[in-house]
Amino acid sequence: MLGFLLLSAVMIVGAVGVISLKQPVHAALSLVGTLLTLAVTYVTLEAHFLAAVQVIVYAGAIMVLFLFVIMLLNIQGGQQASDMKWLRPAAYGVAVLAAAGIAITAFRNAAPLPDAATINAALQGGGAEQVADALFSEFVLPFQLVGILLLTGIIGATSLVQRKAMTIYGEAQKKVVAAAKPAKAKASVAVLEGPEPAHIAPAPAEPQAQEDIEQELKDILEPDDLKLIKGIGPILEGLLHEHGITTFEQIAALTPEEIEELDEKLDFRGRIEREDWVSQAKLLAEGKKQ
Amino acid sequence: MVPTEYYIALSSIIFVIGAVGVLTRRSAIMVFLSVELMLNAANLALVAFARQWSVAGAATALNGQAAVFIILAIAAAEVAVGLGILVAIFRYRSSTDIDALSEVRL
Amino acid sequence: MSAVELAALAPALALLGALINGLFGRALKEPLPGYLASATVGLGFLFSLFAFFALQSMEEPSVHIALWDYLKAGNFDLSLGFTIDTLSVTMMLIITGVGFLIHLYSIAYMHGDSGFSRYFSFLNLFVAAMLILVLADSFFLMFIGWEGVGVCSYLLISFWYTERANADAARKAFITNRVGDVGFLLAMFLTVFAFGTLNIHEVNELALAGAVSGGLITVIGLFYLLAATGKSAQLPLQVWLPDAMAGPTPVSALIHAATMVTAGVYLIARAGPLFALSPVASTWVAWIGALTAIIAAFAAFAQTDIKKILAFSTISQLGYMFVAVGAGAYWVGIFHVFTHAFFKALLFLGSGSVIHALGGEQDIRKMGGLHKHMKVTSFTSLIATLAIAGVPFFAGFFSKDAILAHVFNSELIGGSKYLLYVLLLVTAVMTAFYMFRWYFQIFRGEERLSEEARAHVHESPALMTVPLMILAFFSVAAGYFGLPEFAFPNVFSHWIERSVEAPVSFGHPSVGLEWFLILLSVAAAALGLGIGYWVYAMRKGEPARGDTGALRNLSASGAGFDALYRPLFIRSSEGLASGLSSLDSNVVNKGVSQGAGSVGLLANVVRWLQTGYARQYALFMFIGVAILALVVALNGGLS
Repeated sequence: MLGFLLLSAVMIVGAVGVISLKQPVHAALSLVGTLLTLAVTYVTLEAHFLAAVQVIVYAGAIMVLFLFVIMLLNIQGGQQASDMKWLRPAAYGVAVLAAAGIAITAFRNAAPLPDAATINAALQGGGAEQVADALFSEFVLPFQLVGILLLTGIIGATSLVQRKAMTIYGEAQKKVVAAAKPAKAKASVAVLEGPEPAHIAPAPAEPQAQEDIEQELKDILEPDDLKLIKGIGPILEGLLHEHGITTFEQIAALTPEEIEELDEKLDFRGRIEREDWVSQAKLLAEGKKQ
Repeated sequence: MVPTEYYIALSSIIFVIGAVGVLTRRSAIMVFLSVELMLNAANLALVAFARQWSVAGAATALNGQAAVFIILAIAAAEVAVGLGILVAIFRYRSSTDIDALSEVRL
Repeated sequence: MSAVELAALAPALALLGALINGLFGRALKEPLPGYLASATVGLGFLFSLFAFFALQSMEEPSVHIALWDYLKAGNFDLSLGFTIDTLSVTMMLIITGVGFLIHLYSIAYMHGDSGFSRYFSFLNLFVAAMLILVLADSFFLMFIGWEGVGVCSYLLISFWYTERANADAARKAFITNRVGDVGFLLAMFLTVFAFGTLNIHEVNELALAGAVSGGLITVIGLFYLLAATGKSAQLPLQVWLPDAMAGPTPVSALIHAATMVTAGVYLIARAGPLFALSPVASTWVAWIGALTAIIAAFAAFAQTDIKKILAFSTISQLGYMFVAVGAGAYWVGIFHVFTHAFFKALLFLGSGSVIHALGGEQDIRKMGGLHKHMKVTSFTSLIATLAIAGVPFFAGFFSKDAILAHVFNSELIGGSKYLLYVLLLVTAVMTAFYMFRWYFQIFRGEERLSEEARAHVHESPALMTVPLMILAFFSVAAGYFGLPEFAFPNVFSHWIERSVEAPVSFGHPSVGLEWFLILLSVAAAALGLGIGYWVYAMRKGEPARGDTGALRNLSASGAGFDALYRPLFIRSSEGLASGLSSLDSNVVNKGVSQGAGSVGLLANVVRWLQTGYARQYALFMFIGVAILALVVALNGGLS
């Protein structure tokens, strides 16, 4: 009994620490203490496997995750004044009532414990083997469901923390602008150093380059249905996509040399010219604009 | 051996301490820590009950402990998703004050 | 591990291939994923062959392999395992044998496709799921395979998913199949309710022992029939199969002709004793099969797409199989599955060869005269055409004749059997006609090729033509396993009936009448081919061009089922939605706004409760907990 009271005292102090310490890191460490004490309590209740899991999973893995997030977000203590001042005393009052209610019920319904031999025979110390027996027979379905839940949790957490495609697109644009800037600066330096017209040329070309890259992004994001061109099927379309050709405009703008090169590379056997993709694509590109 | 009712009383105390934490702290992460306290209080009660009812026949003796194991797994999932939400909210508003999130009402 | 048990490894092998191709396929150079996938299926075929020969010499030709105790609750026990018996080994041989040839063929057909390894990963996954389906010892595991093949079918129909039409076709197939799956689930629930187990063998034994009333068996049978109509594209769920032709042609050959769509027939044959005990359910099976057969044959008339004709032909032939199992002739149904797998796969692969040669052309009006350009394809396709038309000495003749004879002699389906017989005979004439049209329009007559196609046309590479030749050989040879029983030795019936012991009996008419029935089916084939020859070879298709109008449109639209379903299901659910919406805005909203005034008063009271502060809501919950605890405590506890 003395041991139990000691454990209880430590646990309650730890719990109070969790809810009253200002700094989240301190509160989290206080919770670790409480959970470790709880693990010891499990041992006194003949649940050795759970005690180990409590230490490894709860006090270990889960709490580390907490500390990571606290430090990642750099959350500091300190509270602004609440506009619900009445809530604190109300919470204390209700808490005392609820605890009293549960405790009274427990003591009024107290039943004698079975003797130590029976407990030992039934629980056998609550080792891994015994718990596994229960988990893989009686509790298979919940066990499986928990597995699914964990998987869902992982997917959910990943997608919550993941940034949206739009932000990625926005960042790509930022990179384009950033890449354009130093080039521009270099160009203006060149202007200062020596008035060679050839050096000035890149400066006006910069916005052009940015537009090009934006166009390229747009082409990848919004491909045309190339199969509308007679002679292009799904397979050829896939090949063209692999070579970065996704829009009618790109096909319409192919030069004879480029056509030859493409023909060679993709083994089209002269189909581009035979089926006159270029003028077909021109027509389709005009149609698209309207 | 310490009788079960003492464990239940301890469990109820830890539980209400956790509840008070949920009610009085405003930082979402502190609310989370308090919720963990409540969960563990419930686990303590389950383990105590498992010992109390271990006479009922060997087949069901470990039900309480198996349930605690499953709750542990659920808690892990809950923490992963909960902290994910927390990070997402923090990115969005640079604060974890749950009182600031009052526009969820109808 | 005995030779029979080795066969249980076949699904695992295919799964392994799917995993390797799915995970590392991108890193492998092009033909490698194809050969890898083919090797896993080929090895599976070898294992199946071992099992086949091992079973020959066994007293009790059934081996059970326990895999896993999935679920035990009370006295309900769900364990997963494989049953390897003559029926499942036959299906395994078809799946892995034909599958192996189609895998090889695909290596050439999918050459240069950007999704090469993805394709073989899906194809292997399909083979694995299909093998699980046929090996399953319980309806539950069968359902897992059933859904698995459904998913693979979905993935492969929409293989070129960038095209909207393909994705739509895949979704249509998937959703239509879900209707059937609901039937499967309900049937399983009822099976558990009635028999307390899902093990197929136990269910059959219990049913034969008379443990369950006839009415309940009929209901269970009808739900399994619903499941079968979904997967096997029978009325009223046949609409998805023609659209499923959007997938690559070898996929159509493997999934939508030879294997997956026959799963419904297999299901009914597996549960044979169950159906044999319910004449009502069996009659339903037979009638659905017969109506599907004739309607699909009619729909094949006006199709112009080389693959759609074959799709409707598949639906029609599946109808034949349904009639067979409906009449209680389970081995005959499986026999037709067996022969059909060869000649229909051959027809599809032949079409694939043609499409490949013409650079993607699928319209038979733009073909013709291809015989001189691609002799092997033409010759093998001719064999398949004759086989499906039911010309004597080809495989299709024997299986089709067996179906006709068994329907005529069936004692299970009662008085309507003669009408069924006539329907099937008419369908046989129609089949011969449209298949003649198919062959003649593609390979004979005048060339109607486009300039582009003419420049491109060539015989396919050996990797494609060799599978064609092997399939052509079996399109003839497969029939000789099941010669007419009354005059010849029939290996196939004894082989299958060792696994399916259903209490069905057939009449034994005089030998003269049997010969007369055979003569009738020969005449049907001859008549169909003759009309075809007259219309397309002698009159150059003129009679078919002459009468346009309602009948042609009806046929071209697949007997109008899509047009029927659109208002019936899609439009009606839209109508329901808009009706509900107007009900909501006119009745509910008005009522609410009238009541709103009085609610406003209450709202003022409640408003301070609904602040939006989570902590405050939590307090209310906590107050509830405290009240509950106190009430229990003050009432003296729990007991």
